[in-house]
Amino acid sequence: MAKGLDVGTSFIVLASGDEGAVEYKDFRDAFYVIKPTTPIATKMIEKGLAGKTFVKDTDGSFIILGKDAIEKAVERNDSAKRPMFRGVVSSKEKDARRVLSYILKEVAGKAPKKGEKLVFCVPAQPVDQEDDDFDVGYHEDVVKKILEECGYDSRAINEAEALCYSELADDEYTGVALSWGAGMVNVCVMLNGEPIVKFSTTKSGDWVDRMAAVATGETDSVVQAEKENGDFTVGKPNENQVLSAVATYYDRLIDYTAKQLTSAMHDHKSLPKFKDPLPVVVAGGTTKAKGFVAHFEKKLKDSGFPLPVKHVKHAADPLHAVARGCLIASQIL
Amino acid sequence: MNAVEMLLCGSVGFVAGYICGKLGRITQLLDGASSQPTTTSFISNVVKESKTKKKIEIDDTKFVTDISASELKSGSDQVLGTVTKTDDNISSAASKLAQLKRMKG
Repeated sequence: MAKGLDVGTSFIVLASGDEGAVEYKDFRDAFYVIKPTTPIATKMIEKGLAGKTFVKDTDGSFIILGKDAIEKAVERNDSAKRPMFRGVVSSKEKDARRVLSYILKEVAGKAPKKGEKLVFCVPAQPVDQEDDDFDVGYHEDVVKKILEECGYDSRAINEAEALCYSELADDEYTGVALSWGAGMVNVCVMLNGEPIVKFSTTKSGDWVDRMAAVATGETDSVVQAEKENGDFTVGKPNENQVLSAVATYYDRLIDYTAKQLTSAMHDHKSLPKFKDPLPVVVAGGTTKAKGFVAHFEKKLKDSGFPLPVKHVKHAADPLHAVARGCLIASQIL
Repeated sequence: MNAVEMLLCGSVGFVAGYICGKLGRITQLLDGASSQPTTTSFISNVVKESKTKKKIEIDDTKFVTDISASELKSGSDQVLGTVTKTDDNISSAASKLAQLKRMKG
């Protein structure tokens, strides 16, 4: 049984199954390290971590994983760490590769038989950042190596391409897909199952958190927790200062991305002539905010998007759509 | 200086310059220098060289060193990940995509 894996900055999602049912396994891609200074502190911390997901390191420190890491960070007025940064394995965190390896091995599990197919997603080269730290090839090699150790025959595809495979079946696999992850927005324009344009931008949900955190003096993790549990509408004022900042930066992010998409289409020399208006599909955790889809549709129109748009639609399951697309790809690649 | 004198000076200067130029050329020929202008010859040599020389590149992609996570020992009996099941048949989407890919060759 082939598998699809969405290796995201914020979530790792495994999709498996084929005939009639698909199973998803998601895990929050975050960690938080606590290093006790005395044997008594070690015992106290271990007691406090009862029921939480954590691992013990050789130096005696505790690495709390997943949503428990974010909760613990908020509790200590700190920010949780991420094994990934802007779509690729983080070069800022020294423990990033080890933690990512542990999480991926636990989520994907051992391949039931050696050489089982697994398709995972990688981001496209960003158009708004020239950075040596952003190395998709290296990221792909790291993930491949980890999955190889689990016994998989893995293959990488672009994240937004996977979204097209998941959501554009009814449109003859022709349209535009935008995957709004935590670290970046990945874009793919597809014509009859063939990706024509692929690119990414480096501002997405994490950028909203960071900017709102700076504006309000809170930590990124506090803003993230407020954003995910609070009630706000994109671009609308809110009584809660954090949510008000979040709603404003959401508006700016959508405006920025719509302009980037329009500019990329204008600059593209070999864009085919599409005979019908194109469906535009959006997915990812960032798109779950209230009013997001309507706001993006308006901004796209205002920015002078050069292609005829049929509609902007939300993926049926925005958090699992990319993993589903990887699973579909695993059936044919 | 009147107009006649100025014209005379100009003519003398021109003749002197012409003679110097000719003398220089004759000296060059006697030295066995190429009759072709040197700039043309230099450019054609460069073009010829670049056609024959193959560009040698080094693979500077980042090497993936060993990633060992075996020293991380689980501290709880919690299984990583939340599992959800959905009724969803992906086989029709996959066969449609496979057909499109086949048509494209």
